[in-house]
Amino acid sequence: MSRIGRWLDERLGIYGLSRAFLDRKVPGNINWFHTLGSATLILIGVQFLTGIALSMSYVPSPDHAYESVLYIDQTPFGAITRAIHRASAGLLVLLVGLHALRVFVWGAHKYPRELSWVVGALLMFIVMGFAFTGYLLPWDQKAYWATVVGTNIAGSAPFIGGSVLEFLRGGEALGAVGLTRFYGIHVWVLPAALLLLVGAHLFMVIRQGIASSPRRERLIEPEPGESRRDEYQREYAAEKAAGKPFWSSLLKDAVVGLAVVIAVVVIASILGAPLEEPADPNATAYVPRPEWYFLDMYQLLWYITGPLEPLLIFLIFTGGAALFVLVPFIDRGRARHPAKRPAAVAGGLAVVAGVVIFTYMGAISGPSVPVIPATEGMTVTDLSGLAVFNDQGCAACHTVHGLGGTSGPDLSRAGARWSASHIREYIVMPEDDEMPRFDKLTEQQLDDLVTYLKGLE
Amino acid sequence: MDPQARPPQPERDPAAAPEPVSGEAQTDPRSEARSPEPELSRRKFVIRSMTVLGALAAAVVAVPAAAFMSAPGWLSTAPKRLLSHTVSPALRAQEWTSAGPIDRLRLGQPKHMIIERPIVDGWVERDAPVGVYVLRESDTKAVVLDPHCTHLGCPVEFSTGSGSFLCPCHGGAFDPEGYPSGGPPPRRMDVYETRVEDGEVYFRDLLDPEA
Repeated sequence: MSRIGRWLDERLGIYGLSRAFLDRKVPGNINWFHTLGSATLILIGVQFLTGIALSMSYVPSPDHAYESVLYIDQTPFGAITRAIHRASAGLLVLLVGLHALRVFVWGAHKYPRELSWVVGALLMFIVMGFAFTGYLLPWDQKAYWATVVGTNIAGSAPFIGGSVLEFLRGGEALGAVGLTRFYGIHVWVLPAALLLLVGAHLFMVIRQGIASSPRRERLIEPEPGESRRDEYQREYAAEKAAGKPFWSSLLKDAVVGLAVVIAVVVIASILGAPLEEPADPNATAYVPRPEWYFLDMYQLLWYITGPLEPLLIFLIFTGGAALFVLVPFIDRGRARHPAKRPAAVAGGLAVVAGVVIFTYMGAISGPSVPVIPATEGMTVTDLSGLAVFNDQGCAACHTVHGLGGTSGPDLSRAGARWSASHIREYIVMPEDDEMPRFDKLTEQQLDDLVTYLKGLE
Repeated sequence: MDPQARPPQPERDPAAAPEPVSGEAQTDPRSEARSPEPELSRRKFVIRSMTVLGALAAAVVAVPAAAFMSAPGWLSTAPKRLLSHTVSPALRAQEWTSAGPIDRLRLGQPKHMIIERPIVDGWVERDAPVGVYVLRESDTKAVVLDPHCTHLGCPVEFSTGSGSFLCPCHGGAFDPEGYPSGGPPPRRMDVYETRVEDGEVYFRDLLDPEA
């Protein structure tokens, strides 16, 4: 022990404490997958560090927010600090999700660690809350409109929606009050909640011990009639008896932690932290588009329509959140190995697949109306028809040769599927409610458009 | 941090069981001098009193702080939710504002205008540009529309070819009068109180869509 160490230990008695912490036995099959939690913690540290630095030059006011962000970007190391904060936020969302997935597949949320899961689930919501509130702060077009849409979704909830909306915005409109509220939530409320819950989460991990990786063939078979507690305690004691000291697994955490931080800096250097035009509540041509981690929810809104939409969205979001928090009380059998709980694992993978697919669809179709390019061999009429197609924003809902929206039918083979007269009638007088009537087109425009669509085969 | 203490095994540690009436009293060195019962209830009394007093102290500060923080959520004077109100800070503008002469507008074709109006945005009061669509319905009748989709508040743009307002977010569409003609919008675009006087269009507050 160094002199300083001895000096401190004499007064505080921390040597025994740290030895007990580092030398305690953990299950022997702790592996690389167990580093997801510590990597998450490291990114939280990155967010605190860069966030504090950014707060030194940021002003949460519509008059100055955008300019102060410009100022940050022009100050030495300001742009990279902001880019790291942004890249780290995205990676944090990803890592929290992977960490939760690992715990779920491992069955580590089961007895006696249910509360660790519940706290972890709340932490995931807090991370999403950080992402959502941090978004608005640069006060550019994307920030403003994504928040308008996001808060309107919350505001559409039955009964409480209006109050939630006004609580978030600090009034009916999104303006000066809303920006300071988001700032206050982002830099005070959420960090305080995060620290508290991370503390609880870590306390539980240390107090209960790290869950072993599930074994197909268990170390100890339960005795007939044995209570769950006895079974667990015998098994965990056996895991620890065959285990290794905690310090021996720390190098993996350090390696992954360093890799994650390097990844953040590399992503930040490549992507930077884009800043769009200043927020303009009067823009008409702006197409709001969420950050990638909200694309799945955004895409979901394409499929839920009708008078029950607000109720359905509310039920899906709150129901999904409640389901997520309550996972350990739903998937509660004694078996932990994924092969022995196929239904639970299938359910979990279905959720993951849904998130991935919706995110992907949101990313490719998206809300921005793509412009369908001309192809070789098109006649002049076809080209005029294509121009009408693009002018009318048809590709917002329809796909042509892999480009466009998905809420309407794919028109890549429209000419082969429908007759010219049917296409024409449908444009002017659609049979379903989803498609608007395009009955203000001139005869010439209509002729060209039909010719173009008829030519798609 | 004693490694021997994990995993917690409360059943092997009777002293740690909740409310061990006699056991607790025995561990207290003073219990020999007094009867265990009063000593125990005194302990409970102190802890519970401390909890109550602490909660009171916390409430004294937390109630006003929480009330202030949540005030915008319950202070609302307008009972109906006006989605577009939420988007445009212009709703507090009380004065009639001119949108120009009606004969500059083409019948049936909404025109996008950005007009300076006094707004109140929290502690900020100033003239700010407000975007509207003005539709001439006849020589003496016009309607001023708030250009936001009633679905989720995305900005809508009038497309002259289709004669529709189109929303880029989820494919919502409205006819020139602002009534939904396709996609998810649940109701008409928000409309300002509008009047035409001496050939000039004036608009004031957004109308309650439920009224």
